[in-house]
Amino acid sequence: MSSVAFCSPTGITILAAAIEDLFLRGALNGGEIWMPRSPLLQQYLQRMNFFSELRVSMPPESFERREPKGFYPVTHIQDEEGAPAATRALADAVQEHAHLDEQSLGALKSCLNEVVENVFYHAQSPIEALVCAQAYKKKKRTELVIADTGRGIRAALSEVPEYQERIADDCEAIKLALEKNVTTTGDVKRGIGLWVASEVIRLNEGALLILSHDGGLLVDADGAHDVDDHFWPGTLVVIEFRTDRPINTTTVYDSGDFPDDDDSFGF
Amino acid sequence: MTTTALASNENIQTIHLSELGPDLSGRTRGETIRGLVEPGVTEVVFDCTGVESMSPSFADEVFGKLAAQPQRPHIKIINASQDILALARFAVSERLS
Repeated sequence: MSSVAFCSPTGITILAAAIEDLFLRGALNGGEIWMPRSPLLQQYLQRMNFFSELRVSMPPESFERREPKGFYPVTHIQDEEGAPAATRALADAVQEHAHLDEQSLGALKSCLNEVVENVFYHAQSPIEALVCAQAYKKKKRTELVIADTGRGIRAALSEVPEYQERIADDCEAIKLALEKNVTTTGDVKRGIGLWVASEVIRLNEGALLILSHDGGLLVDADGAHDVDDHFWPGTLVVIEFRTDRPINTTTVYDSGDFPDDDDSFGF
Repeated sequence: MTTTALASNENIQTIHLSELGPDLSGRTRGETIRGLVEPGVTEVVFDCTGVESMSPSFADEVFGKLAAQPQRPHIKIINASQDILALARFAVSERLS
């Protein structure tokens, strides 16, 4: 990393996930990392737990560790049970710089939980889920990263015969996964989580990047764009929310057709 | 997880969702909550005091699937934010559509 001058949370998570995956698959057995020349970047990587997550031997830290404010270091989430506590800690950390209202913070956690849970339901990821985040005060943005090194979206959707014709490649599979009620479970009423998250991000004018094996899709205020020329051995989701705009789930949920005349519901 | 029978003669059961934590997510947890609804109750009240966020999957497991049961009780939600109420309505409408 000696020539690296900048590393985003996404870059750090990708590197950590890829190296760990190589270890777990037996393709890597030890090695050394050449430190970035910039002491600030070295410190940033340490604060983001990059080295500790990879169990890299490091000299004692020359800075004082504090509660993370504005960022959430690279962290493993082992299972579905551990997801809410981790996403809550992540949201609390970015909130220090994002200053979201209560409703927006709830919406951020709801979207994040949906994406993280997908890892445990579908990915079969050897590294489980790696998450990381950073809020950028001046840019008024937050970057949330969720990475796995599992089988990818296309392999998961290919379990459903009805989807075969629509998933000719990884990119098509990602697009299909973002549609409402697309699910591998056979329950046609499921498959709403990722659709809700993408709608909420769209309304916020944020961005959603999904890389899965050879496919990639970026959804932002200008629409959906294919991302070519890359390979990610699993699924990587990067959510970017604007923090100067509300993160609003209510508009998405109000699209449902609730039976108001049915008096068996008291809400 | 505790539930409260408010009045046994009325067969009303209250479930305090925040006992699972302030952020509710996961189909497994949602299924657990739905499983707490006792057979034969005429009304189930979900108390959302202290609940800060809820994921669509959790809401589907609790409200959506409960609403889709043929012998469903009257479902009431109290002390919930506007977002959570909107999500519960969405979950029900998705299951019943």
